[in-house]
Amino acid sequence: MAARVVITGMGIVSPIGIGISEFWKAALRGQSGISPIESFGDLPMEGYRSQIAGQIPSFQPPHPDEDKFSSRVDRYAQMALMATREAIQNSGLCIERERPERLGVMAGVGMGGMMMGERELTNLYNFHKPHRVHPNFIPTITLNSASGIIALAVGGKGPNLTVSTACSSSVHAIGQAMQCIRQGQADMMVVVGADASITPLVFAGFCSLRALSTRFQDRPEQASRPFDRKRDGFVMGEGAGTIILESLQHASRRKAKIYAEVAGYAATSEAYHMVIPKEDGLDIARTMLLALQDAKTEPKTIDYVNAHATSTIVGDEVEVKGLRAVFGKRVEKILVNATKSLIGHTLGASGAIAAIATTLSLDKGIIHPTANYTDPDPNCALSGISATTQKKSLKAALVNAFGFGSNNAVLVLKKFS
Amino acid sequence: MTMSFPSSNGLQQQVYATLGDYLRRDPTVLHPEDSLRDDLGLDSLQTIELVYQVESAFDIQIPDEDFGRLQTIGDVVTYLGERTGLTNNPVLPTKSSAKAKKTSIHSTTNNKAIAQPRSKSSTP
Repeated sequence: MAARVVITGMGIVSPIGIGISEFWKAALRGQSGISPIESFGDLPMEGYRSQIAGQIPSFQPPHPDEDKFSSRVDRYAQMALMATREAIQNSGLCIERERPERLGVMAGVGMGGMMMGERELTNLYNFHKPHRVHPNFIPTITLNSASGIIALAVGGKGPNLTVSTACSSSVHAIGQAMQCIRQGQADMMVVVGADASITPLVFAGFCSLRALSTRFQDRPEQASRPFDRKRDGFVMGEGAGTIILESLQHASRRKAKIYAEVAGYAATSEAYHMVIPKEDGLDIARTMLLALQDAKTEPKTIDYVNAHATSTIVGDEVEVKGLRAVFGKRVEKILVNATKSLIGHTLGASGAIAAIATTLSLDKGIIHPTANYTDPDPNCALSGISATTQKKSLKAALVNAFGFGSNNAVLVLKKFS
Repeated sequence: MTMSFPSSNGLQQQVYATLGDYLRRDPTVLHPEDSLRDDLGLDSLQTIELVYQVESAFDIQIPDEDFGRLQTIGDVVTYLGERTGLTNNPVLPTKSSAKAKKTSIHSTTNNKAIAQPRSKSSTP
C-alpha cells in the first residue's frame, strides 16, 4: 500500500508578507500586495501597457557571510531559499538527524533566473563581448538552479527535480513530490514554487500577450479581481512558497505537527491551445475528477476550492464551468477563493502559495477573501465566493492550477485525521 | 568597470582592490603567497568568477592557456604586470602568521545591477 503523504511545514515569501504568520494575517484582511512599478532600474515604464505588479520591495537575501548559497543564485531562487528555511524550521525537522538519501527536493519554476538572463543578454547584444558573459550565467539561468541550491543548502541527496509547466508548475511539483514519497523514493520532500521575473523583457512579453490588467493602473490594489465583472487580465507577481511533505509514518515517528494530507493529484493536457483554455471547461473538470479518484474520494466530500482564478476574462469563466461540471448544483455550497486576488499571479510560485493558503484554511477553518469581488460576473459567480473571510470547518479541498502549454493540475488536500 | 592602466604599484593596488571586492575582504589582508584554492577556499567555478572580475576590471581577455598560471594572488599581479607592460616590482605585503581564512564570495548575481523593478510603494 502506498504511503500516505502529509504536510508538516510551510514557508513563504509573498507580496503581502514574508513568513507564514505575516502572510496569513494579511490574507485574512484581504490585503492587496499590488503596487506600481516605478521603473526597471534605469529603464522607464513608458511603453508598458501595464505598470503594476505584486512586488516584494522589502525582500533582501541574507548577507553572503550569513548564507553562502543565496549569493550564488538569482532572485527567484533566493526567495525559494528563504521560504525553504522557514518551512524546515516550521516543520521541526532536524535535518542533521535524518538520512540525506531519504530527503528530496522538488521545485516548480516557470521562468527561472531571468534577472541575470536579461542582464547578460543585454550586455552581450549591446557590447558584443562574449568573453564578458558572466561565468555563473549558465548555472544561474538553468531552471533547476533553485532545486539544486536548495538540495545543497539542506543536504538532500534524494530526488532533486524541477517541474516547469508555466503557471501550474508548483502544483505539479507538489503532486510529483507526493508520488516520490508514495513510491518509496523518499521519506521527506522539500517542495518549492518560485518565480521572480518582473523584469523588463518578461514583463514586456506578458504585456504584448495582452494578458495583463490595464484598467486599474491608478488603483493597483483593485486590478486583480477574479470572478468580478470588471476583471480585465492578471497582475504579475513574484514570490516563493515551500511546503515540507513527509510520509505519514515518518511524520508520526518524530511526532511532527501535521497540517494536512496530500491525498490526491492529477495532471492532464487539453492539447488545445498554448495560452487559452478550452471554453467548455471539460478538461479542467476531468482533471478534478481524476484527482478525486486518485484520492479515493468523491466530489461530495469537497467543501473548499482554492481556484486558479487569475482574473482573466476567459480563464475564470472556464474554471467555473469546470466546477459546475464536477459538483453540479452542490457547487453553490462549496467555498471558493482566489489567492491571486491578493498577490497577483506569481507564476511558478502560485501553486505552492495556493497550497499553503489551502493548508492553512483546512487547519484553521477559515478562508481568506477574494479581493475585489464586488460586482460578481454572472458567467462565473458562485455563492461560495466572497470578498470577506468565511469561516467553516473544512475537511477536504481542491487546489487548481492551469498553465500555458495547455496543461492542468489539481491537488486534493485533506484535513488530517 | 574598465580602468586605465596604472603604474606598477598602482597596478598592484588595483589588483588587490579587485580581488578584495570579489572576496569581500579588506585588500590589506591579502598576500601574494595566498593560494586561490587552498588559502582563499575558492572552488573551480569561483576561481573562474574571480578571473572574470579581473578581466572585466582591466578590460583584458585571459586565454585558457594562461589560466592555469593563476594559482596565487602574486601570480595574478605578475600576470597582469606582464600583460599591461608594466614592470611589476611591487613591495608586496608579507604574509602574516595568521593564515587567511576561507571566505565567502561576493554575490555573483548582483541583483541591484539588474533592472530590478522599483516599487513606488514602500510597504508590500
